[in-house]
Amino acid sequence: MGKNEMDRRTFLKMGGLLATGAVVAPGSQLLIARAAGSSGAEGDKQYAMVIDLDRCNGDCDNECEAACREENNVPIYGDERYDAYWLRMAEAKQHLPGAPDRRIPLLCMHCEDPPCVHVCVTKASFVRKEDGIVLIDEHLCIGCRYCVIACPYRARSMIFRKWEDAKNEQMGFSVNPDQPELMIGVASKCHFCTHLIEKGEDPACVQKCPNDAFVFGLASDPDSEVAQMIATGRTEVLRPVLEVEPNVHYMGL
Amino acid sequence: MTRAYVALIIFALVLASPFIVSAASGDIGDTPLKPDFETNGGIDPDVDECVRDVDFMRSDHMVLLKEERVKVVRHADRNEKYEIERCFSCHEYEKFCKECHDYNGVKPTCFNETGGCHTNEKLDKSERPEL
Repeated sequence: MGKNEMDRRTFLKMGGLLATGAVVAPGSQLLIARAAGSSGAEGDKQYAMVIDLDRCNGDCDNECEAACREENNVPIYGDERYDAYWLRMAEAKQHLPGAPDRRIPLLCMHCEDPPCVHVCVTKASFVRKEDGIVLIDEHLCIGCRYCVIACPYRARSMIFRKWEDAKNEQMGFSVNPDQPELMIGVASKCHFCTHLIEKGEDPACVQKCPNDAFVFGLASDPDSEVAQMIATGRTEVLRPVLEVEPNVHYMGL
Repeated sequence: MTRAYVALIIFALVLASPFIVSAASGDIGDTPLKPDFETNGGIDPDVDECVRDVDFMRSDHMVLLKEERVKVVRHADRNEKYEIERCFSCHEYEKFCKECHDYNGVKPTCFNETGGCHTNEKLDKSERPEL
């Protein structure tokens, strides 16, 4: 045996070490990625909404739904297969005797760790770090509908048809000329009326609710009404077991 | 042998059929004229001030627009100075932009006229905002 040659034992040892390293290294990368945290907002601001279901008692004509549709030109075609909804009013029946039925406004929960963003192929869906709002960059969306399927709250709608086919005006919803029409072939969803927040106003559903059931504000600011309501511990989120950390909280669920 | 030549001629005709069809339909010669930089669509670069200098705007306005789009949509950082609707307070699409876009085969898909979402009729064109 020459001086520079390895004996069989050392060779096998080295091989074993190499194999162990190859198995462990990718796993440790995964652990590091998990420790680094979610894709959620790490900026200064985080918008949130609290919906008081005791005030949302059906004493209205679903003004929030109509306000959302009119503010953002969400198309309705009169055909439930294609209708887009950014805010839906769901009715929940209670199983316990004597407990009241609930009307629950469902909208995008603006999760801090949203599944729709994780599945987006083109990175068109994203959490805006600056204010924690989950948005769709319609310029990048290719309309694959993964996000529509991934959303556990069914908050996203695909726009299947052209705006010319929409029957918003025939069905009694006014059209907002300041907002662009929604493009055909892209996913769409509630964006907390980003254009109104920019001007310092509340979202349309918050403004139009006759019973003041919606409260909107900065959850990151401890003095805001929203942050104080959440701090009381009386608010709940929908499907908390998913750990997506929604930013729409419900009171009296 | 003649059959082979006939087959070759037919093959060549099939290959050239797109050119023959377009020549017959008169599409050739319809290429847009080179834009006239002298008239500038009624805008005098010495008098009227834009957000950047003329050479930059002429070559790279699309880069500027796209950068601003990313800033607004993805970073909540809106700069009123670069809003696309402000372009149309001075520049009319039909008079100023279209000629050059046609010549270069560019079709910006931002606006309603070209199949996009945004309208360029929102701003009052008689009112020029301060730069």
